[in-house]
Amino acid sequence: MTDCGCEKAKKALEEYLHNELCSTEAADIREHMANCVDCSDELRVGQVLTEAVQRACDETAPEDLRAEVLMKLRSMQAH
Amino acid sequence: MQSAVLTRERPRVNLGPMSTSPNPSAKSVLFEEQAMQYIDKLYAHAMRKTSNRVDANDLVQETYMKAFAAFDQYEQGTNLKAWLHRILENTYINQYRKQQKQPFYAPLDDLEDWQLGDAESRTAMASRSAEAEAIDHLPASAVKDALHALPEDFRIAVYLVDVEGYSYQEVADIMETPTGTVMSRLHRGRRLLREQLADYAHEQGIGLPKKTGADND
Repeated sequence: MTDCGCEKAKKALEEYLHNELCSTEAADIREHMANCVDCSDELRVGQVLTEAVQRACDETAPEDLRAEVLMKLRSMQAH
Repeated sequence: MQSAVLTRERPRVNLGPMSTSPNPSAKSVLFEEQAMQYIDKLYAHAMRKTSNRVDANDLVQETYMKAFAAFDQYEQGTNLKAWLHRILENTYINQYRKQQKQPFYAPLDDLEDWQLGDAESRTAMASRSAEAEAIDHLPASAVKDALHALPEDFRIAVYLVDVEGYSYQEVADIMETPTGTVMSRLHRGRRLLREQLADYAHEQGIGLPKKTGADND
């Protein structure tokens, strides 16, 4: 049994979520998550939070902006 | 359809050293080819910085002009997108923040955790799964508002990691700050965000059971 326990799992949760842990540490957390409802629910909140932010930040640059940037770039290199 | 893909003509561009004045130079062709594809990402970044379209437009334009001017310093093969995000951060700090009157800039990184509240205790009334469900069903506009209510440095750390998928080290390079600071901004930003979204969900009655009696609106 290598379960790292809730305290360590909660502390490392954000780094785990962002793939910042080395593979051994990540494996420990993953194993704990598989057996702990409380921590895996906490992880799920973290995941949906990330997804919600991704949805909210999806932007497309206005077409005029693209055109304007190109125009300025071309006038810049003409001088 | 497959043959159409295979025979699709590539746009003809003159990359040769012979190109003369009316034609774009090799440098500008290369720059346009490599950098313009990131305009949506830079615009999203600029919107997170400025919170309005007009300033975001200006910031993106400035960023591209600066990047083009400095393109000789960009090392081919390294992460161009991260390089552009970094230039955008710098441009904003040098030009836009200077213009804004900021009589008070709190040293947020120095705040203690207790000063920022505790998301876990605030949302302890509902189960984690109900909280996840609620966040999952929030309108994007509510998430955007909550994101923009965060201190700028927290918001950008969250944006660069959670949306752009940069590593903590890459964000440290873009924001020119130590990795530990990135982690702290990210952690606090996400915690505040979670807290605000839980409040919003409560108000709207989304997912979470209403607090009994305690609600004053």
